[in-house]
Amino acid sequence: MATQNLDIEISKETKAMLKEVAKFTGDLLRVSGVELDKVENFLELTKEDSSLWKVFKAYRELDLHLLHIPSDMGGVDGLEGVTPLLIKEQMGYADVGLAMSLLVSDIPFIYAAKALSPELQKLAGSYCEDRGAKMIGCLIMKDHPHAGSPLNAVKEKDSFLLNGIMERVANGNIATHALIHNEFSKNGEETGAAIAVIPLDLPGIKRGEPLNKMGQRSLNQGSITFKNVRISAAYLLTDDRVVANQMKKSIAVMSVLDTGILYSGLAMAALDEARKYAIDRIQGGVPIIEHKNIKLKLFKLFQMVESSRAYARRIANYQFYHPLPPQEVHAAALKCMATQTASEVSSEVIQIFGGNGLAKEYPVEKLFRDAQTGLVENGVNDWLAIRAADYL
Amino acid sequence: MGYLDIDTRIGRRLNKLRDAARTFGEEVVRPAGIALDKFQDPSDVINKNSVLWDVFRGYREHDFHKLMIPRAFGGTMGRYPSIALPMVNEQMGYADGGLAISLLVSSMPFIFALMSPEAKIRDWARAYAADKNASMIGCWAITEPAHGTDWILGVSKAGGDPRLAPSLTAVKKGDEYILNGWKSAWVSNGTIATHALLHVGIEQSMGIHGSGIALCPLDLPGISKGAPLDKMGQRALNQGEIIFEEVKLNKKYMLLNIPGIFGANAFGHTFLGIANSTMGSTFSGQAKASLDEALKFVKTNERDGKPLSEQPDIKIKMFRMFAKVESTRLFSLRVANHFLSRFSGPFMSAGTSFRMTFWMIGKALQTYASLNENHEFIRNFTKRFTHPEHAGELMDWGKYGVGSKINATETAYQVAKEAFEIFGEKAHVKDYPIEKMLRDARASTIEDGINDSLALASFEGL
Repeated sequence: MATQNLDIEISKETKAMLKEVAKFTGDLLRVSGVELDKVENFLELTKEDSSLWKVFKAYRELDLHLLHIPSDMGGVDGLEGVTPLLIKEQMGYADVGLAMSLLVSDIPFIYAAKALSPELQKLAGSYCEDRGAKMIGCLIMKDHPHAGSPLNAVKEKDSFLLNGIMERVANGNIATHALIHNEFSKNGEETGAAIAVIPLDLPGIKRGEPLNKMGQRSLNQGSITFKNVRISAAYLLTDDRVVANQMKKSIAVMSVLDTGILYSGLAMAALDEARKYAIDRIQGGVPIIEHKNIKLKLFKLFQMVESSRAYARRIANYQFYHPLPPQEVHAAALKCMATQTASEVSSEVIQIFGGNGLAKEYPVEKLFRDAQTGLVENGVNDWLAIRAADYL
Repeated sequence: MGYLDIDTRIGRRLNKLRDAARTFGEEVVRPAGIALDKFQDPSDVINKNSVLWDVFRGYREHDFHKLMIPRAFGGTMGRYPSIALPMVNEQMGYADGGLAISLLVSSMPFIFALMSPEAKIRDWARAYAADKNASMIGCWAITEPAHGTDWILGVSKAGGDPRLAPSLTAVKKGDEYILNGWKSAWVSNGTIATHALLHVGIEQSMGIHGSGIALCPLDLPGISKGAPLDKMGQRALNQGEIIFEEVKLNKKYMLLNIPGIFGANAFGHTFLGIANSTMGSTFSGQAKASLDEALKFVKTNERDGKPLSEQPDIKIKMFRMFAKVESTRLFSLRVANHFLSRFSGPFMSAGTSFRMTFWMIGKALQTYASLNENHEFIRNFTKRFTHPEHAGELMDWGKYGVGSKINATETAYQVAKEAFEIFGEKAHVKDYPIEKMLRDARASTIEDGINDSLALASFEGL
């Protein structure tokens, strides 16, 4: 099939790793995504024997949570730039909701590994060892796409006090830890910023009702409320304003970039379903792939999917070898392009399936529901675009 | 927001009817659609205590189902200007696309019953008009698991291919037809219907062109229903399989039993066109509903501390959505109005009543083979109906009806998608109304014919 990886020069080690990952994504991840999509309530989603935990554990067993943590902190080294990209694309191909849940979980601990604080370094080490998936991360950041209203932070002597509510947090109800970026202000002016990685069992933290969503139902989202929550110095990653804001940008850009990669994978999955169906389905006396209008449609979708994947490769690879500065413009452009592609491709694929495309016993209506969410999560597309335009 | 009535012939009576439909839509249909959408199990949509029945009974209480039944049978056809029906359809589509289709499709077998040569079967229409309790529910049983688009292709030359022959066959045995096969899970109202407008294969060597049409009561021995379809959108619209095992159907129920009439001719095209024109008005309504939700949202939500309604990119987007919605809506209304206004009198080239019109069409369906029918009037009419070269204006009905459907459903989807992006982070959360409208709109470009398939089949009318 034409959508072979045109990726050249993948090392033997990477190829071997990808083979292992393919077993995880091709089977457990895909099947669990379909199963969890049908679950109506949160308690069922997160009960002890739920597929959600099977997925998290399998991900950790494969050491996939270590990809961005240096080996001296318990992670892995010596990866090629293309490796995380290929893994993430495969995860998105399997199920974007679970992929997002798994990736977001890693972020607080990736950054804890960069901390000078021994407590945070220890935390990162524990996460690397956590193959039982007892530790789950989430992000709470102002202007971060996941955030709704910002938290109010007030500096005290050796700590700061947090108040407010963060809406629609990914992993919000299942997370044990959070990376928080907040700003300190006086009279509407920003006077400082800080990043902390905190446990979510501190007094004053409450979780809201999990969201009931159209798509990506395997990704838990819920609000987190802070009432006079005291964040002590031990949890601080940095309280240097410039460093904190710089780091926040890196985190946001990484998240946006990952979204673009995941949705390129989804678009590819939708196209593959359409091609399989078009070969089997007979209408007008022949397999529908023999009708010229279907050929035209499939080819146009192929163009779109491959453009998206090509751009993902270029940016992910560049950013891997040149982590600073974070490529906000390209990440935003990829995210917008990939999600728009996923949205259109998954929609056209339903059209190719005809009446069967709407039925829940076929896989493509789920791909459609998952895809549309991409347009508005991790940064509503137009909003991302308008902001990124300042950096063109 | 103000919407201009470009057609100024909407007088007080019609306004009153439209207001009644709008209020019914707002108070009963819209909340019912939202509630029914939430059921995980589609069987819950149709159980005895479901609000679905409040919707059906309310619709019948308002006499909306009577708009396509002649006065001679207790209906109100002709009482209102012809634009009344599409106006009501638009209000129903505005409220809930799925329920609108359920209500509309329910009438089909009873309207076609008017074409039957049997007085007792014509009286189904009378019973239906009087049926305030919604005990009589109709469906249009046409597609099969192996033949979806194939039925649409039936109105083009391609439909004559024997590979497209229907899966459900009707074999004549004495005074009966023996029916075997089944209709697909896409049949709207399939599970709840009591009567069907049923398409059957009679002469398989002629493909779809060899099909006939029956008026089928669904309580005959050998008929069973499959489980209701579990689907992405329009979940309030029941859809489900109907299975026929050695069903004995008396020949009096066969409306069209002569192969070769349903095909690439005015009958095929007008049938497809009129059915699609109702989709056109319904989904124009849905498109307008998505636009109105977006308008409400931008006035009450902010981006970067400023109302969305003050952002220039939002203003441009929304205005274009308005232009699209209105051009679609008015095109659909005009097309549907045109058909219905010409349904008697001009259509018949004589001053006939609606009742006569239906009778004449029935006659044409029954006498095609015997063009030595005595009455010249009937003979000429039959020729127009069944020979494309004599059809004249009738061939237009197909392309305009289909054109309005393609336009309206694609607009409904595009506007819902734009509105979805305007709702931003809240869009995909089920607490907000737009994700349901997106799912419902997505279904509309496929139901009643995949848009590209319709275009393919209707090209011959250009």
